[in-house]
Amino acid sequence: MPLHTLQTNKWVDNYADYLYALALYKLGKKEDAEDVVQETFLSAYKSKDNFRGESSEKTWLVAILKNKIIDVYRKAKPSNNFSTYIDQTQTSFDNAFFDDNNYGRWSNQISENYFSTAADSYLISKEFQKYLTICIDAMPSKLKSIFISKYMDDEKAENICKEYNITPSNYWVIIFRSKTLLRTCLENKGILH
Amino acid sequence: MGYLNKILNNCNQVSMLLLQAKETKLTTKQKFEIKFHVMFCKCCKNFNIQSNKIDASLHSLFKNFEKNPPTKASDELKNKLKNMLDK
Repeated sequence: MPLHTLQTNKWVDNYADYLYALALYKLGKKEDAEDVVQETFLSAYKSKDNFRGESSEKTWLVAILKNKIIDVYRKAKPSNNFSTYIDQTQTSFDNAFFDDNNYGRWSNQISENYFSTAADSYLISKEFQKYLTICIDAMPSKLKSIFISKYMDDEKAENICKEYNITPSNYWVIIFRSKTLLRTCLENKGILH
Repeated sequence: MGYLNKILNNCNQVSMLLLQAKETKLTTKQKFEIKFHVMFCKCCKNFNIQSNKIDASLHSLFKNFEKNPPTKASDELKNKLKNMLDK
């Protein structure tokens, strides 16, 4: 028996939910996520003899999944890519949050009444995390995928840029807009602490 | 006065730099602009504080992601995958 055996009969039970949830966050569409998970299992199965056991089975599958996701974004039509999205929504974002007649000041005051003084225990409480989840789900899928990659995997900016085929400056615009939307959403939920 | 006005009032630019500063090396000029701006701008100061709070909460939220994924693959997909791997 080889030293590193893959238990392919347990793959679906052990990893399908996790890989699917990961793919859904990164791709935003159910159909795309399902396709990518299927491709991942298929190509992992085909290349199972190449598995060296240098990483865990799960890490290996996640690496394959990420490569499949890179392919999806590489193949995306220009009309559907990130820089087009950023350009098309720049004005509406700026108008929604900043006062261009006033050098780009925040249009609305950011008050310290809103969770600026929240205790760490409140930030990890069920209540706050419930609102956080609702506000993440409400984000546009293009922003959400990148924003979540940053926080979920604690991934470096350069890796995320590679994965999604975006420039560093677009990356920061996306992180900034995501954070601004998320912050405003939480504020609108009236979280006072 | 144009330059001073700009760094005192351009929250749009400064708040994005505040996020970048956590991960990337900013130029001395950028660092100065942030410091100067935040000294006078409560909004950006609060934005930064709240942003850090959100980060802490996000990290704890995603810690459970692996064990407890927020969405599950459909049974239909799972059966399809099982059939595929059975061959």
